[in-house]
Amino acid sequence: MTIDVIIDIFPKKEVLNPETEAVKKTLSNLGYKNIDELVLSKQIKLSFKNLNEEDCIYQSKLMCDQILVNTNIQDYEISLLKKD
Amino acid sequence: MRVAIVVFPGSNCDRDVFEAIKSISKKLPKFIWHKETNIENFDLIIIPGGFTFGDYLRCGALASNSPVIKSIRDHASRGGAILGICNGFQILTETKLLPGTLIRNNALKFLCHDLNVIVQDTLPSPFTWGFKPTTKLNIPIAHNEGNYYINDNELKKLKFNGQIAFKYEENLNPNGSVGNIAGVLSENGRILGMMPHPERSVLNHHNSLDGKLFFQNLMEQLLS
Repeated sequence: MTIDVIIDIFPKKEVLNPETEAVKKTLSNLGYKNIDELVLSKQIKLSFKNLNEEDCIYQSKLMCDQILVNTNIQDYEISLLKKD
Repeated sequence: MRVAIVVFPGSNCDRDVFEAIKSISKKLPKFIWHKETNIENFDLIIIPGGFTFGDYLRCGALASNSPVIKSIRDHASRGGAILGICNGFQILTETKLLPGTLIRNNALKFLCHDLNVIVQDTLPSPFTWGFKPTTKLNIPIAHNEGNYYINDNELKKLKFNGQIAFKYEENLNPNGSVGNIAGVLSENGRILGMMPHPERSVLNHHNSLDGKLFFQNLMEQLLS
């Protein structure tokens, strides 16, 4: 059995993200005036084999803290997707 | 004066730094490949600019996990001097040897031009002592992610400790950096990260020779 782990990485709210602002402004110029919030995130998908759910989450969290995420400027969420 | 220049895949200012140090120091610096694990007995380790590992994931993130980093940490814990220039600064923040993070320039443009940085009143440090605070140094920048970010509490700490080494001129901040910050010191003053490239203002064909002053001062301070 393999277990897929999805890691969503997005900028912290308090960090002004110039890329997000530019996309939001362009959408507004295109006529989409009702956007309250826009989040540009990065997604990383990992497929684990021979590991239980708990260990998949534990290892993913370790990877996030060690290298995948810079917690000064980013937050992350981990979700599981079980496959047969 | 023994100087090491750390080279990663994608470093591209290593030879410029080599030429700069060679023109000032009597001794040739030594290139250190990022896979080396023993870099003892250097007076100064320089992490030059570039696009290490293609800037994949985040600038400096992959380089900050290279084998050489352990030796750099050991050098830091012995109180050794480390200078990170541009991508080298990004690497030092990713290793957490320096606080804060370099994010994308607020204008979303790669910037490459001369500008003045202002030397700040800092804690004792070989990188700044020897300069009168408010001294202006004309040194070029060349970066896409030079927008220094740090949260308010950490910024207060930096100011209180005198860890801000260089600032851009008021109203001439090129990239949106918090507090116009262009260079930051570690808590013990022995590590400096800076976005401007002092190695590009050393030789006679460069637009300025202020980088030469910076390196000369640094070497004098380290030898004193």
